[in-house]
Amino acid sequence: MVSALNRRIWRMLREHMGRYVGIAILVLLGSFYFTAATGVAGSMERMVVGFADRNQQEDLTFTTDKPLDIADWERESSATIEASLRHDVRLPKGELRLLSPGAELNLAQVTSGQALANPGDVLVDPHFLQTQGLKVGDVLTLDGRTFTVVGTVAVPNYVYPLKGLYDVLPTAGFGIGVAAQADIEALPSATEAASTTYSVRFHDRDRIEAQTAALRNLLGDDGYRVTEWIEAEHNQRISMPWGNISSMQSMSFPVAIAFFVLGCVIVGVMITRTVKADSIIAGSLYALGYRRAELTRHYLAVPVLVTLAGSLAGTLWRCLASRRWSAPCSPRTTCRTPGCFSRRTILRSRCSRPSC
Amino acid sequence: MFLAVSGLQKSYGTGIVTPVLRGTGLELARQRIGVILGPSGSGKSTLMNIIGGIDRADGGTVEVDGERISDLTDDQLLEYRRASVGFIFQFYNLVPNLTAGENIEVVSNISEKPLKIDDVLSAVGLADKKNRFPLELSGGEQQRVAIARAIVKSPRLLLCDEPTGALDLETSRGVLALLQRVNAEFGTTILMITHNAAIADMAHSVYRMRDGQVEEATHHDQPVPAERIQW
Ligand SMILES: Nc1ncnc2c1ncn2[C@@H]1O[C@H](COP(=O)(O)OP(=O)(O)O)[C@@H](O)[C@H]1O
Ligand SMILES: [Mg+2]
Repeated sequence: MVSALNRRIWRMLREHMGRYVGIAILVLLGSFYFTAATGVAGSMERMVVGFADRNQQEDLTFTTDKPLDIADWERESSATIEASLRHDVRLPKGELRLLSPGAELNLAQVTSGQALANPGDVLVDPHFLQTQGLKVGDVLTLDGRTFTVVGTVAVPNYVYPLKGLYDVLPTAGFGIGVAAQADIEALPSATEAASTTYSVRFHDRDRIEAQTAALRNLLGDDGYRVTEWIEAEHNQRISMPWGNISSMQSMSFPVAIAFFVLGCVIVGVMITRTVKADSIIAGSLYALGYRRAELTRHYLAVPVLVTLAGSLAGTLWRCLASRRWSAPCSPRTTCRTPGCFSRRTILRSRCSRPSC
Repeated sequence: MFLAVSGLQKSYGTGIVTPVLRGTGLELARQRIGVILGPSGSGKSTLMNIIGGIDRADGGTVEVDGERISDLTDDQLLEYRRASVGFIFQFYNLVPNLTAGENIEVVSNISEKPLKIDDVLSAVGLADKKNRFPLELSGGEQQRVAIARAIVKSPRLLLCDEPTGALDLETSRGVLALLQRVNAEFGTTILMITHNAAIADMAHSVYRMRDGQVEEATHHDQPVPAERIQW
């Protein structure tokens, strides 16, 4: 009905193109950060939680001076306890930590290729595969024995593949491999260097801290000397992505909110200025029979269009960017394969933070 | 009487209250031209804004064509303005980024039975300037567009607040002649404010205002054509 006045809106936009584009870009950045912060943190959280649950991530791990009677201790602490073999093998350039595959806990997830089937099969983490210049199907010599790399793997207790428990960054060339226990035991160097670690996951998922303390006391009372005791919460190999997510949330939200507030202030100033500059014309149109609501709509049109354009572009940009960014592990499609948590992806996901 | 104002009261300000209208009254017959004369600050614009329904009086009554404007609700007042009143201002107040034709269209868009935009443009003598923007028109031409914009909805009452206040003599004459023609051709009742006494000769009724009151009202049956007015 007020079509002639609408024609004016486009002309106003065109006249001050530069100013409006600037404001739209500001809103764009704000909405980009906002959707990035909520979206990435949310999908990472889904991936991490999903992987930890599906693959029975341990609640704690420890080693002892003498072997445990697992069945006994499982009953005692109402938990699943599993022993696994661990052995580090040196390579010309790098080092591979071989783990025996978990049967009940820390289930290895094959992310490409085949599962272990025959003696001499080994799975390695995707980053290691890449840095060693290997392909699935290649032969890898470990400690003088020939292994076949049958696929890539992700392990719940090495989401972030740190060599030492208290390392800050992954060691260059260090990788994780999964091989049958018999194959690891058969390695010449394994006899003296391989070690057994215990992983625990409590049946009751609620009071984990209390159950952990109780188990530790019981072990002490029974005369075990416990070494390398670490709970998942403090285990960087497990909790690194959590810190990553929460820092993403805690850093990105203030940034998004700052942009949002700034956008509001600018749009507010813009409306006030337009209405002030145009008050005589608005008054004349009012005198000639325009309703207050019709005039308000007219003066809101430009800021609304500019803000809408900016926020839509920001959201769109974020969608396109995230598609490229998480292509190998979009949470809804492929992220049932936890290959997302290769070191590379995690390091990259860190860099999606606005601060870097 | 087409327009009847009586006992109008209006004050501005809280605290120190300044009375602007003090029992103002006037009457104007249908299809006539009335001119309000008076020094600056005497309350002419205030009176006109109340008659036009964009301001409200504190007391007194305004009747237009038998309808008591002073009793209308805000919504009814808006309908009254929309359907019955045309406004013309000293500084034209055209929308700067719309052409002459579009400025007229802005008002025809909210009118129930508007006149044709081209007809109105011809009537004000600007048929060839339809696509010009206000800044590309002279002051007199802009005021003609403003007149066209006001009459496109064929209002019963045309209110002009110092329509020639910003124009030179020759141009003023043309604009006033145009208003006389609108009055004659469309039968629009016109109430015009001016502080130029010479203009009074072109009106049927002249009201002299001072300190918020109409001191004197005179009526002529044969007003002088604007072209013959001497300043
Ligand atoms: N909105 C307002 N608020 C306060 N004072 C006003 C307002 N409008 C007009 N006035 C005062 O009322 C008096 C009459 O104003 P106005 O009707 O515009 O006079 P005129 O049109 O005859 O020059 C002036 O003294 C002016 O300052
Ligand atoms: Mg005035």
